[in-house]
Amino acid sequence: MSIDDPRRDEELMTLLRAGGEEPLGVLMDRHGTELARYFLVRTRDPHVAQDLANETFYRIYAKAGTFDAGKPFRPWFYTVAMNVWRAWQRRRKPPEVSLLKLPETAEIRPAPAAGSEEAAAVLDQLGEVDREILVLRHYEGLKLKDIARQLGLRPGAVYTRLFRAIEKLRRPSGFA
Amino acid sequence: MGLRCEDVRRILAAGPAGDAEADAAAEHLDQCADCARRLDLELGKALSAFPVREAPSLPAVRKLIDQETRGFSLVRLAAVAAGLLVALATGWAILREAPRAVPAPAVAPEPPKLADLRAIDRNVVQVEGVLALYLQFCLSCINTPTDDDRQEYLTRSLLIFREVRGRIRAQFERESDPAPTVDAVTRDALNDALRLLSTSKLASVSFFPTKVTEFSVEAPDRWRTTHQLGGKSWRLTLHAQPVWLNFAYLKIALGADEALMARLEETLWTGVYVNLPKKIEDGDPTIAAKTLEAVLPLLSSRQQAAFRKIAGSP
Repeated sequence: MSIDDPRRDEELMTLLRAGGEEPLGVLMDRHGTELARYFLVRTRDPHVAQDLANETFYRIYAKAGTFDAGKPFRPWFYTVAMNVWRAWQRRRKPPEVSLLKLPETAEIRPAPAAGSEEAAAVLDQLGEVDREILVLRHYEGLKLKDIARQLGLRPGAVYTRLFRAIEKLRRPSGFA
Repeated sequence: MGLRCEDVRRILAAGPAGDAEADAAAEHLDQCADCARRLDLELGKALSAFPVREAPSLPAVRKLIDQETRGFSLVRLAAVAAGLLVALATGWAILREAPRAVPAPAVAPEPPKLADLRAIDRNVVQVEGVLALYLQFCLSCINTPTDDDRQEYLTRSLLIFREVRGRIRAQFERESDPAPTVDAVTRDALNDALRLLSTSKLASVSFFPTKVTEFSVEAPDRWRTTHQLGGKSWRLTLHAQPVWLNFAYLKIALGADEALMARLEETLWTGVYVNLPKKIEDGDPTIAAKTLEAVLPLLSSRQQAAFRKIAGSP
């Protein structure tokens, strides 16, 4: 099994629904790294990202019966991923924050895990809002005006932030 | 400012010159599929160069699948075994009792009075009751939620309630000198809940107190808190909920297991509990009837009888 497998994602899901486990491996080969990146951008912790990606594929397997083979796989896949992320947000214990520092300014910044300095360094250059814009545009395919509405920004500000984020991601030093 | 595709491509390469140009570029990108594709290509390229070291692994996913399957099999095995036992016991009882069987009416145990509970259980009942009402107060008394946000808040707040609940009992069980007072534990619980709430705000449910500075029980059916809200200090007096709506008490009174409690809590939290502080203050006479309607279908006949004794028949 490999990324070059000629079967479409939707066909693989149909096979998975029929009870075979083999298509799961193909889907993981095909989408695993991208999914881990999705969670990495959201959480900034590679180990958490890996756990959430594993959990997403487990849910894909467990909920294959709910997939409509007449519809494209990718939006459904990222909806499952988004639900996994939301569930994680709900169950994680927030860091201890002095009540004096409350309310809404207390941003949760998980400490980077060992071996993740490279990714963490790049992600640290991007603010919470910038990372959210990346996710909403690239993984959820939203228009700039819809992202703007969701985040309470002007569409131009969303575009400017997106442009700067791309520039930061491109910087060779970021991925040396 | 209307932009042409050439202008936008220049902006894609060099960045917008100012706010007006950025707005115009954003508008164009939302309307022109070709330029949007160019933007997405750049974004995709930049992201795909982003290093991912820990990709998901098939063995780890298989482990999750196995765990779930094993759990499911155990549950099924237990269900089959329980079914067999029931069948055997029923058969044995019929054979043994058949000639002189007189159907005995199911007698519901007398539900315990709050005053008869152990001190720690009484305290937990009280603190949990306040916490539940306070979380509902944050939703319906100081925010005007959309339907979607209300639903989402209810889901999140029940999870928060459950998380904080664990700490409440732990605080009472911890041996400390002096022992924690109900007021102090309640104040801590409310602040814990507020801290958790502040990490997951919704667009139309975002106005929360930032800190509870004081809590005290004024009368058996009334308590008061002082909290920081919108930069000011406010005193809030709320009426306590009836004991038959209190999860901690119901668990004891009905002898309910975790699974039943989870169902009861979800049913009550998303139905009867919504707007509860105001309903109690208004003396809404429909609360009991609605509660019975929601709760009874979830209970066994003995538990139903017990619950009717607690809540009274409408």
